[in-house]
Amino acid sequence: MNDFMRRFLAHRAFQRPFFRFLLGLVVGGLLHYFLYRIFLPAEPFIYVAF
Amino acid sequence: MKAIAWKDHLFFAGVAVGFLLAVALGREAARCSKPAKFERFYWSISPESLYYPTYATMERLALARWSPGKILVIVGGNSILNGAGQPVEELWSHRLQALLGPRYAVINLSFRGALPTEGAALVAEALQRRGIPLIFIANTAPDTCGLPVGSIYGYLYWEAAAAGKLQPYAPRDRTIAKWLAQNYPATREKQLEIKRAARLNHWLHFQDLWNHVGYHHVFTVWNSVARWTPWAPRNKVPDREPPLPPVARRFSHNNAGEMRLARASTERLLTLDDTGQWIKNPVVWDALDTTIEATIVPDLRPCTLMIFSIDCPYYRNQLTADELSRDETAYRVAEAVWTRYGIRALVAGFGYTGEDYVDRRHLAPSGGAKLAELIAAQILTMQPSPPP
Repeated sequence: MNDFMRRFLAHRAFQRPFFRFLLGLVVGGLLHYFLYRIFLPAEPFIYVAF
Repeated sequence: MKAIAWKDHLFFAGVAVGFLLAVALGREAARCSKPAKFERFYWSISPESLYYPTYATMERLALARWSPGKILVIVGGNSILNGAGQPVEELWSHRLQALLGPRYAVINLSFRGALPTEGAALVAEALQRRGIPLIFIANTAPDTCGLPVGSIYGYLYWEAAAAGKLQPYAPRDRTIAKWLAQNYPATREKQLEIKRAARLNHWLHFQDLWNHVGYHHVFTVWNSVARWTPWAPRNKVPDREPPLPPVARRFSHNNAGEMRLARASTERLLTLDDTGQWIKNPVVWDALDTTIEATIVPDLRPCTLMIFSIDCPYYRNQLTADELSRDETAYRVAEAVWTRYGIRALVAGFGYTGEDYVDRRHLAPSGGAKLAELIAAQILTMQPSPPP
């Protein structure tokens, strides 16, 4: 665990177990969203009418 | 120190639970989420605005329209069958449903610019495998069949394959593997990434969940097509077509460009020989033969109707006699090729007027009604597969 992470986890607002778990939930959801975004083919759509 | 470690674990446990919760919600979305009051894939619920309907959504839409005792009519193909230019209230597939009556259930799963082997064809194949009696309709250009992978809608093939929905068909697997092997490394890598995404989505349901959120709550990706309402949930974006200008002003712009396209559509398909006969270009027609054989599963062929649309008379009237003759011969040859594989094929558009078109290819409501009548007459003489 690097220094930033250690200081982050040691922050006063982060000492309450419920908030830690809640933050974890949010990060887990964001990881799932991250999968959606990295696989979204965000390229220009070329429309060709046959 | 021990207390901090315990709290650290709580954070990581939260991450795992949050992720698994999202997977569970995605799984639920994959099971039951679909666009409400669905009529067609218009721009805000299709890939042109970064909304990628999943294969599971398409299959669910078809199943929701069907009930036991009915024959499912699945419409695939491109923007012509998607009804581009027709207001949703006057969509040609509504007219088709009215003509066919309650014994049939019509669902329009076509996409703009899609090939006949993409998307809807895969749904038809999978539902046929499940024993649902159906007829599949698609359209294409006379020389085009196309692989179900490689274009913007190729992800649907990988999703269907990852879910084990497709009929086993070795020639298709071989053709896709060969296409991948012979392609540029960048294209190959891109396809393999889409394949990996489809496999991951099959287990983790991220596309399902965030499509559901984007459709019902908030769309999370900005894109230029939806730039006026980028974050609006897609169910709030109506399916509207621009008003149709009068015929006199409908076709006059960019006449030279449209005529180039009108000529190019059959230019390389046939050559005129010394005796005045049209000779088939073997490169084009052999490729069409090979692709039909390799991409359309044999079981689907007898219940498939393939449509070819000719250009609007405004442009056809500007063709020379030779060009017109080449056009008509090319469409007849295409009909014969598809028919050879047991697929019913027909050309639509002969006898239509300028009023029936919105541009060179796309049909106005009156043209859509004529198309519906032509297709309904064919469907009533076709045997669905498997038989009801």
